[in-house]
Amino acid sequence: MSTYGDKDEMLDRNLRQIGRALELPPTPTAAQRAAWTLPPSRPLSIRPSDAGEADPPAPHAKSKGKWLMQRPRMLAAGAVLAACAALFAFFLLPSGNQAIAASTIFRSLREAVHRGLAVELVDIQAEGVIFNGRVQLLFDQPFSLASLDDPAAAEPEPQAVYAEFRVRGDGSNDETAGLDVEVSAGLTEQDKWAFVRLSGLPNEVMKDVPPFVPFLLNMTRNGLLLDLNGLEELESVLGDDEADEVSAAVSEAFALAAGESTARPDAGVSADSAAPAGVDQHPSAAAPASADQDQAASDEQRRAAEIEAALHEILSGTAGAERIALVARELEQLAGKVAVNQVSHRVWELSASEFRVDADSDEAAFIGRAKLTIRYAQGSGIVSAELAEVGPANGRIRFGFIDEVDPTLLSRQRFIDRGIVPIDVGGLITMFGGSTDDSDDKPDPSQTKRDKDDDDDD
Amino acid sequence: MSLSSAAAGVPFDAGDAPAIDDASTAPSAMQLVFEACGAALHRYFAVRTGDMHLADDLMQQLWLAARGGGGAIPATRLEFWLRAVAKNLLRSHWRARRRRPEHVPMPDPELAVELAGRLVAHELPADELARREVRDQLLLALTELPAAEQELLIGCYFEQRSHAELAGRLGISERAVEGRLYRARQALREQLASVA
Repeated sequence: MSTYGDKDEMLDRNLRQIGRALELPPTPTAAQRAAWTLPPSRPLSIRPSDAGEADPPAPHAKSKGKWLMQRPRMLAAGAVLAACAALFAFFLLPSGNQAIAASTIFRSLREAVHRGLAVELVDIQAEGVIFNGRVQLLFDQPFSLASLDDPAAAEPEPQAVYAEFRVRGDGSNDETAGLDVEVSAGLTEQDKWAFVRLSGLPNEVMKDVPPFVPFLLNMTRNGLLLDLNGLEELESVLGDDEADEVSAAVSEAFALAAGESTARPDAGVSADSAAPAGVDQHPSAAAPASADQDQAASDEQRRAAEIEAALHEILSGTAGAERIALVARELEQLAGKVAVNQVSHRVWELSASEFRVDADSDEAAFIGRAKLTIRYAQGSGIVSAELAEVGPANGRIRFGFIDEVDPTLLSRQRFIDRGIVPIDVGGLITMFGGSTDDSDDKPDPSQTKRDKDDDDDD
Repeated sequence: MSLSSAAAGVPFDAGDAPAIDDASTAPSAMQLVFEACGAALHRYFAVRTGDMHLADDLMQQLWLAARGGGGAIPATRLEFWLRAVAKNLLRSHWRARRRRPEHVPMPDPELAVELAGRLVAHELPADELARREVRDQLLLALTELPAAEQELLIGCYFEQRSHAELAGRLGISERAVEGRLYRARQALREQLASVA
C-alpha cells in the first residue's frame, strides 16, 4: 500500500503507463538553448519552410490595434512613423530660440497616455477600388506605447468602437467595376449595431448571379440596419479568432486599402491550409522552389527581422548607437527628404517624403509620392501622424490619439430617423433554430474544438 | 547555482535566486530562472503550437521580453511572470495568425475533469491512452506545471529514473524525492481538474 493512499498509488501506476505511452516534445539541444538568448542583432530563426508563407510576421506580443498591426503595409507605415520619431529622438531640433529635445518627442510617443486611437483613410485607391473610412477605438482604461510594449501589463479592453467605410470600384478593371458598398458599425456594451448598404456589386459578379439577387439588392439600396445586441459579448463580436463578420469586414477593407489581395480568408472553422510544419514534419520536407528564391526570401526576412528588432529596441529605450545607425540608414534609404519645422507656438512637424521605392513595384504607385507628417505639441506629445498623397487618388491616411468616441457616431439614431427599421439579428437566429449562446454547445469528445471560444485557452 | 548546471536542466528552486533588485546580480537572476525553466517553457510552446521552430521563435521573443521587463519582479515570482508572458505571447501569435491549425491541442474541460477523476479510480486501458484527445489533455496539464514539478514527473515517469537517481541529481534524499513526487502528482491531477 502506498504511503500516500490507494488513490495516489493508482495515480502513480497510471502515470507510469502514461510515461510509456506518451511522447514528449524533444528536449532542446544546447545549440537551441543558446539561440534563445542570442543578442538582438542576430536574426531570429529563419526556416526554409517559411519562405513564401502567406502570413505576415507576427507583431510583437500585443494585439491592441490589431487591425493596424496585422496589415503589412500599414505596419510598414507605422514603422516609418516610429523610425522618424525615434531617429529625431537623438538629435536636437533647432527651432528659433527654443530647441525641443528630440528625446522629448520620443518619450512622449512612448509614454503619452490616451484612451483611444483614431484612423482615417481618405481616397485610398488600390486593387481596383477606392476606399474611404475611419475607425475610432476607445479602450476601458488609458494606455501608452510603453504599456503596449510590456507583455505583462494588463491589456485594456475595447470599450467602444465606431467604424465606417465605403468601397467603390474605380472602373479600372471588370472585377471591381460597379462595386459600391457602405458599412457603418457602432459597438459598445450598451448597444451594438451595423448599417450595411450595398448599392452595387461588381458587373462581373452580377452577370452570373441568380435572378433574385438583383431583387435583394434593391432591398438593400436604402441600407439595412442590423441590431447586433442579441449576439455575444462585445469582445467576441469585435475580435474573436473565428467567424467575426464585422471585424473581418473591417479587416478586409483595410486590406484593400493596403493593397493586399481581396480574397476573403476562409470563414470556415476547418484547418488552416497554410498550417505550419507539425512536430512530426521536418521543415526540410517542404523543399523551396529554388535555392535562389529561398536565399532571397531568407535575406529579406533576416533584414526585416533585424529592422523589427531595432525598432523594438528603440521603442523600449534599449537601443544603442549601432541600432540607431541601422534605423537611420533604413530611413535614409526610405525617404529622400526628412525635415522638422515649427508650425506654430509649441507645435512642431516632422516630415519625410520622396520615399525611395522600386519604380516598377506596387509600392511605387502607392507610396512613391507620399509625404509623412508627424505633429508634436509641446506639453501634449505626439498628437497625430499623416501619410498624404498615397496611391493614384492622392489619398490620405491619418492616425491620431483620442480620448472619446463621438457619441453621435456611436448612436444608430440617425439611421432610424431616416426611417430605416432595425433588424434583430439575434432574434432571427433564434427564430430559425440557432443559438447565440455558446453554453448551449455540447462538446463532442470525438470532434475537434475549433469553434469554441478559446481566448483563455490555458 | 551555476549557469552550466541550470542549463543541464536540473530543477531550480527559485527561492535560491538572489533578489532581482540587487543591481549587481539582477540580470543573472532573470537569466538563471530563464535557463532553469527554459526546457519547461519550450515544452509549453511546443505542445501548444506543434512546431519546434515556432517554439524556438517564441522562446526568443520571451527572452526579449524578459530582458526588457521584469525588473521589479521578486525572484520567487520570476517563473510565474515568465509563464504569464509566455501565455500572452502565444495568444498574440494566434491572434496574428487569426486561426490556429487543427493539429494544435485545445483544452477540453469536460474530458480533463473526467480524466482527473479516473486517474485515481482505476487503471486506464491502453487504448484510452492511445486516444489523441486524452494525450492532449495530459500534455497540456503537464506543461502548465512549474518547471521543478514538471522535470520531476518527466524524470520519474517518462525517463523511468529511479528515486535514487533523482535524489542524486537533485541532491536530496530519496524520502524527499518521494514527497516531492507526491506533491507533483497531486499538482498534475489538480491541473487537470481545474481546466476551464
